[in-house]
Amino acid sequence: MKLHSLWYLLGQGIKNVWVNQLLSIASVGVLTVCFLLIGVATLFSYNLQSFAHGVEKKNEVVVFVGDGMAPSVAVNLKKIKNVASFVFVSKETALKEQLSQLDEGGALFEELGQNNPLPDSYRVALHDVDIVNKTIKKIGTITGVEKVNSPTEVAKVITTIKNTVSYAGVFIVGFLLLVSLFIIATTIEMTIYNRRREINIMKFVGASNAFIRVPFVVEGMVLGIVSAFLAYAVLHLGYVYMFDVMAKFEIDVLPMIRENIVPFAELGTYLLAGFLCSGPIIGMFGSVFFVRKHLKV
Amino acid sequence: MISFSNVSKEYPNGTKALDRIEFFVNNGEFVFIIGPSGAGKSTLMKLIMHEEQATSGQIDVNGYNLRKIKNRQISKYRRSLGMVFQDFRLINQMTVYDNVAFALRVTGVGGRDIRRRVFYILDLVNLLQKAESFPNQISGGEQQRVALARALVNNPAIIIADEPTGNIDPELSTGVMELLCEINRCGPTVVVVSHEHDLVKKLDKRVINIEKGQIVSDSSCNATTGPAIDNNNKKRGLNEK
Ligand SMILES: Nc1ncnc2c1ncn2[C@@H]1O[C@H](COP(=O)(O)OP(=O)(O)OP(=O)(O)O)[C@@H](O)[C@H]1O
Ligand SMILES: [Mg+2]
Repeated sequence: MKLHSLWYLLGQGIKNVWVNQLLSIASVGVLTVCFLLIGVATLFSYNLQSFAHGVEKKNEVVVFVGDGMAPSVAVNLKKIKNVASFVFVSKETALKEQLSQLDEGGALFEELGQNNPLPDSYRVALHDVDIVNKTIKKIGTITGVEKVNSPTEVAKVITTIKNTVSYAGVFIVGFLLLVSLFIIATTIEMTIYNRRREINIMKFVGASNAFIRVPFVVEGMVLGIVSAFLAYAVLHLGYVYMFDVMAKFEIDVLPMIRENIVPFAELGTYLLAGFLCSGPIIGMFGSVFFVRKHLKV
Repeated sequence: MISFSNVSKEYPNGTKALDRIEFFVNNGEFVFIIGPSGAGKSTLMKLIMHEEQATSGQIDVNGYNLRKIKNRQISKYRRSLGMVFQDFRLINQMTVYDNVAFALRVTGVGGRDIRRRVFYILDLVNLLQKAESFPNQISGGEQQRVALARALVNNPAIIIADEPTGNIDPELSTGVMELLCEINRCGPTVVVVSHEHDLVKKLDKRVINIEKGQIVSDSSCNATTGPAIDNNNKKRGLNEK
């Protein structure tokens, strides 16, 4: 194909986006909605996971140690890989903390001061909360450790939720992808069906298949790119707006949620990249595939 | 050169549109095809265009055997034909100018040549002032002339016109027929389907009469009108030089 023909066809593809306004708007609309669904599902599942992870982190393992054994236990704790960090809590501090929750705590502390029933302890944060049970067993074998308190039941539930969400997220996004592909294919097919007369005429005037296809491919790519940016913009604005609104309310869990919000920038780039890869490709292959049907004259 | 030998066409729904058609058109000839509605005239044209394929028999056009033509050869083959369809077949999304130019663009001709050529042809069919209109903004007769312009624009070896005067007043149709005759004098073969028997008689060309899918008469068999190429009359033909 000659260069000036190629320029003409490229221009024609871009022009067609404008000439067939209604069909273009319909295609961009469908593609954008599909991208939005996928984007929302992705953002939601990421945030839920991030939230669950935040809750998990709050639940440290508490290791009680025998009198005077603290320094040697610390040395051994450092050797365990899954231990991220630990803080020493002396029996005095522990007692103070506990009593401060009571009204007459101050007085009681004075009284119990000499006879503290609480042991020294370490509050241990883990790298990987999923293998908490293994780590607890390991810590239990350290000499000087008297008792290990595992994270609360809540944390366990949250871990389950997190895992479920990550599987469900993959499943839902995959499902949406399939549905989207189906809807998009139908839209492209309808768009091109509407223009089969044009395609037929071009064939009868002597246009080669490539000559007819190129503008459609360009058109499909342009619509794909427009949809990708549109979906990205809507997601970004919606995301920021939602958390702005959230900031205005004061509910107990909100600070916890806010702390764990995944910043849009962290995911947005990936989403945009995904949209920009798939949009034009979907547009391109859809065009090639469905124009083909009408080229056989 | 167009050659039909023993060609029959039956549509998938069982309609027998053509029945053992046999004829030969020399290069440079001017042929009218006449016959009542439903006789099979458009079907004949569609076979030449390779829009439909013959059920049996052999068709050769411009050295292409239409039964054996390969898919990728079809576009090149069609570029050697200029076709005026009974239903015009203009592209509604394109202006008159672009509709005509498209037939040139598919051949790979570039920008400046296209302008010159398209304006020349639009002038020939008296449509210069409608160049920027869209097909749905012009009259049926004007659309027909756009279709004619598109058929002429890339100097095809054969021009096929299915009722090119079907939608225009008598004066204009005489004009269109005269234009086709003039073009024919410059070389191209011209095949015209027409209902206008008076006009056909007046022009005194070869006439093939089809009825119920069969050729009932062919004037070249009993008249002396052979291929009429008048080389002295090239002043206003297809080539503007
Ligand atoms: N696509 C088709 N499918 C089935 N039958 C068809 C088809 N096209 C034409 N026919 C039939 O074939 C016969 C010949 O039709 P054709 O269009 O060739 O007639 P025609 O001579 O061009 O008529 P007119 O002068 O009205 O244009 C008619 O009986 C018509 O109904
Ligand atoms: Mg007809």
